Amino acid sequence: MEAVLWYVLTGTRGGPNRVRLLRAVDERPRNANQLAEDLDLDYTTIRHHLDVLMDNGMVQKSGGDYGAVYLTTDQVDHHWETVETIIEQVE
Amino acid sequence: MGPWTAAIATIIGAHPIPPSLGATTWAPLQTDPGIWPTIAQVSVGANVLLLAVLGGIWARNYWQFRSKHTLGLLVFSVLLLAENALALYYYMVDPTLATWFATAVPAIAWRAMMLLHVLETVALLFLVWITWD
Repeated sequence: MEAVLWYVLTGTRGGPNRVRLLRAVDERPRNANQLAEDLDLDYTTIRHHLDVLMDNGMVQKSGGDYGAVYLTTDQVDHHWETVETIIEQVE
Repeated sequence: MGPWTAAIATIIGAHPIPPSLGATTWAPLQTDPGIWPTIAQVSVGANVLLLAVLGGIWARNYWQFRSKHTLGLLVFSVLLLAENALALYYYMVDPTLATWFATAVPAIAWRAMMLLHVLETVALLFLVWITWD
């Protein structure tokens, strides 16, 4: 998980935006629309990053398909120290 | 020709050279390396471009994150880019080596080197695919 966190969040082109997304979702679970608005990013961009984060087991969907909210997984919570180290650099 | 070279030659459609024909087959190969140098050089050129893309992304991320990990990726891409740029220089520019590669290296050697470069290109394509995301 450590290696995945580092690569997905700091090794890729979309990394910095995914860090912002992960932090927002950790603050409080939100749906894709709210995330797009709060982070001032395109809805489709948000959807893409959420898919990548889900694919890597970093966030999970809760609730129905429409307006489902996203929250961090236990896996990520378990390694939150690493995420915090990364987040500090994006502020 | 070892078993691996023979197997690879079959896959890429090149005809393995029977040992008995060696003496007569070698002479023309010396002067005509065929298509392999072109494929090798295009492949090395592609490697340079792909590594420039990776290096660009990793440099930007290093600038932002300043972590050991991003620095490692950046240094890796810079060194591998240097390796490929140097290969291109030896093949095409270096006054002594470029002449030697163009006139004295047989097809069988070019084919082997071409394969190494093409494998690296495929590897880098996958890395760019996951990194561009």
